[in-house]
Amino acid sequence: MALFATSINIQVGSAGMMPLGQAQFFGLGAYAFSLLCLKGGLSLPLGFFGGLAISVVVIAIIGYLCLRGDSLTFALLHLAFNILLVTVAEKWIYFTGGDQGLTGVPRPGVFSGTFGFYCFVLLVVLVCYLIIAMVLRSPFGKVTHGLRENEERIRFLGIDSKRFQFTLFVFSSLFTAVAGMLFAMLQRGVFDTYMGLILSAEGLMMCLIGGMSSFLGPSLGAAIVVIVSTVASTYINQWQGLLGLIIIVCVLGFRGGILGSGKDAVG
Amino acid sequence: MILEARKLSASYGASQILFGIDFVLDRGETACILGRNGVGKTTTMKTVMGLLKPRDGSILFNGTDIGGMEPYAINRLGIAYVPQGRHIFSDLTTRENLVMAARRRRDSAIEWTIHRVHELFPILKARENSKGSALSGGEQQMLSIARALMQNPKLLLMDEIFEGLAPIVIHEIMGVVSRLKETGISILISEQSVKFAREIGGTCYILEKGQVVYTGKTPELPEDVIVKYLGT
Repeated sequence: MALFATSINIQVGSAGMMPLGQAQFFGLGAYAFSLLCLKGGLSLPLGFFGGLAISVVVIAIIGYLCLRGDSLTFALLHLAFNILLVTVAEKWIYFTGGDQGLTGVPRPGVFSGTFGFYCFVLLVVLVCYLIIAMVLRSPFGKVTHGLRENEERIRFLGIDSKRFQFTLFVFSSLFTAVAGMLFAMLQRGVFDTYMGLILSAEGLMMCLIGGMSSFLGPSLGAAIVVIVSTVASTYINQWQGLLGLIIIVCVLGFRGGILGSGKDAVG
Repeated sequence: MILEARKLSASYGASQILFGIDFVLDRGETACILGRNGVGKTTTMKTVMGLLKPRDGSILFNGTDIGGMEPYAINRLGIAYVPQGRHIFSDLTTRENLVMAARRRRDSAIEWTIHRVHELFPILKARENSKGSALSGGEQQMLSIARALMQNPKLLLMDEIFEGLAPIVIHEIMGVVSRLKETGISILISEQSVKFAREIGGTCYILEKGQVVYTGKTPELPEDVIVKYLGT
């Protein structure tokens, strides 16, 4: 979930884009990987890279269409495609299992135990974080900050802002897909809720709570959301209300999120 | 000639600002678009830079019609823009603003690097790690000019670069413009002040209500023309 939130924040915190339906790629990665392994009979590594390849094609098509207009059009089209993909996941029962989903998703052989799998996920996520951090610190990353501030300025500096946004979109969404694959392995299954609008909204909330201007802010936000929704729900019936309260406190009390307080807020 | 506007017209929606203006800029020369507020100086700059599409007429850069081209494509042809209001990236440091704009150009007589830009504007070296938002107005203006130079342009568009600056900063930037002229770069500058325009020199085109009403050598502007169109 931390990787999911961090991947969203590449667009939101760095470039000022608003992907309202990012869970579609979380679910896309999970489904592509699971289908290749379970129905395609591929090994886990081949399923992983095959899933990435399928994801990048779908991400590129959706990204191209979403970026045709302005920022509002992008946000709404992004949400619309999320709804479309969720509907496909729910209705294409032959492939996706509908709301029953697919079970039996494999884990890496030597890391299949609880602790072993935790180490595997930690390793993959750390590698992803390293790649993301390196890119955001590079000149490419500096242009994303410029894009967040003013797109016109970027354009008269010789940068095709639309092409740049597209590259950023594909880059960030690939990590969302990786997060989905890891989650499918964790749950040993994939379900249509992995693409759900609620998960898309939760991803944005994680960034908001933890801090969009901090690299680790979304990870902290993810931890808070997951703890509240899994642990607190055991003790409190109204755990969703508690989550809502936390969001209100963070938005009003921590300008820029918990880790973003004291730093320049986004925008 | 490096830049030529022929019967150039431009508008913001239904509101037409430029009504068929003509001007030329020879390679290595300086030209000034002079006029009061609201006559169309910034509109002219934006139209050349592609931030505004021409309504009619044409704008040629090295013989290529750039009217209707995207700003990033025009920039890559060799035109760099120093906009009115500076428009540096306030969230990036001085150095990051420069590095982001850097572009090498093999056909330039002089290559602008960070080192050379720091020689021109020593304050930018001193404020290298300061965020753009922490710079003073004068420092931001210098950064805006330096950023444009980092693109190694053939033509520099400078839109009211002295606006709102202290006299001592204006004097420093004026010195920079003189040094830039000596490098052989072509400069198109827009300005309200006759005094500053005279110091910059070159050819001037006086705009009035979106039309060119006078063309001549800037240092030789007749007093009656100045009074009639510029009010000073």
